Amino acid sequence: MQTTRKVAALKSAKNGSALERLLESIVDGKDLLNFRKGAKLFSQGAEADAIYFIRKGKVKVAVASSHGKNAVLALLGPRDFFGEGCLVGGASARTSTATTLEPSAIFRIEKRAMLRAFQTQPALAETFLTAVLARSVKLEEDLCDQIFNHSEKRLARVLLKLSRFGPHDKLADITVPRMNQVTLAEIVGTTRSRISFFMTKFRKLGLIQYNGNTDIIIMAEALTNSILRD
Amino acid sequence: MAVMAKRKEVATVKSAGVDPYVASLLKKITVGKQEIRFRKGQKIFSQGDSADSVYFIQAGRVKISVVSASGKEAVLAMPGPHDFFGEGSLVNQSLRISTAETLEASTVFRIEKRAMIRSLHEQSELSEKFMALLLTRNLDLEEDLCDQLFNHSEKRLARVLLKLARLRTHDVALDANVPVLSHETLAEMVGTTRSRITHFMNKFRTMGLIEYNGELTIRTELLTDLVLHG
Repeated sequence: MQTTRKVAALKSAKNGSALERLLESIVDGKDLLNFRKGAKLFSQGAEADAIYFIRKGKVKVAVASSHGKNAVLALLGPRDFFGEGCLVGGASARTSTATTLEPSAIFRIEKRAMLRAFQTQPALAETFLTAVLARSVKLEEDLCDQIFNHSEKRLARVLLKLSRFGPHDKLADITVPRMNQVTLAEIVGTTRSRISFFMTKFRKLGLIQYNGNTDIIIMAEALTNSILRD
Repeated sequence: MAVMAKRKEVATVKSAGVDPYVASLLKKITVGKQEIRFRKGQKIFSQGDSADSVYFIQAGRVKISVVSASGKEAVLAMPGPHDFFGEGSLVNQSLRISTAETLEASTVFRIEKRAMIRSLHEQSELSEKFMALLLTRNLDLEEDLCDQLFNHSEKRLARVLLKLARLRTHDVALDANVPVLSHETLAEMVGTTRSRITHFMNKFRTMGLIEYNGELTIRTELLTDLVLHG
């Protein structure tokens, strides 16, 4: 039977909610888990046998070098996935460690269940493919950032990314939980003391504001201008 | 509509890498696909061009690079036979964010965005292969990002040379001959200056890690030692 379908474009990166809906049809091999802040979902070197989807909360994905240095590869929020490396043939061990940054509710889907769902639900495969493509674009951006930019500009870019955790793309000032400077240093790829120096500078320039001990206000427009001018 | 239940063994999404099978799946695309031959050093597309197609390499090698606002260049990847590039066009990239240029005489398929999206809909095998390739690409990108965050430029150069020899650090390896690349290009891949590359390449030659003889001979075992223990 010949079916004709309207083919427009793969839906753009904001397909997280579509993905969430499609995952509902997976019954076996899927668990919804609740984690406290600071819980480890998996560790570098552990067997990779499941993929995760964040329903609520925030997760840090980090890598440790053989010399004990740490690098944060991604900070993920609701509707993001991680641990997807397990779906590719050879990779059977985790290449990174995933830790919750706040209390989180996360779907754990067994590798076999996910692969089976791709075959039975083409819509899920397609939506996931788009998400993987979007991730690829983001990784290329991060790589360019490392190659092109000095650490001050990289920090400004990381702060801007933190302020865009939600679905909104507007350049509004936003309050986010304060993150410790060691973590920021691991994301930017520099030392804690450099971060401390730049954060003080940004505060003086009015690009950020501390709000009590727990929050930080990111002046998105001023920060964007500082990145573009430079 | 009659649904034919197909029982398939679900193992993993087939591992990517050099996979001529993808080429045979692409043969089923008849409309919106062209085979194009390029001489060495020709531009396939440029940063800022409108992005309306995906490319698949049948033979040859391509350099994917990005130029920053201040004119610095970074090489993001050097895809070879049976690799895709330009796939950002399938998501929401309407303009090319990188430039693709042939490093040697190459034959590529140019597949229009609409044709590729339609085929991904219709051919679940193609969609599965394509997803595996993208997942592998993302693991590579994460590795490159870690490399930038952890390693100094000498070690990064050693790793780039090993990648040119198409090897993973854990493979048992034979020496490989590759076309000589300019120090400029190597600098853009490593993310350092041309003069640092010249310095390290001379050092590598003195140490017997590489040899010039019309081509560049990469002593993979010795270089791997340097990456792992250097």
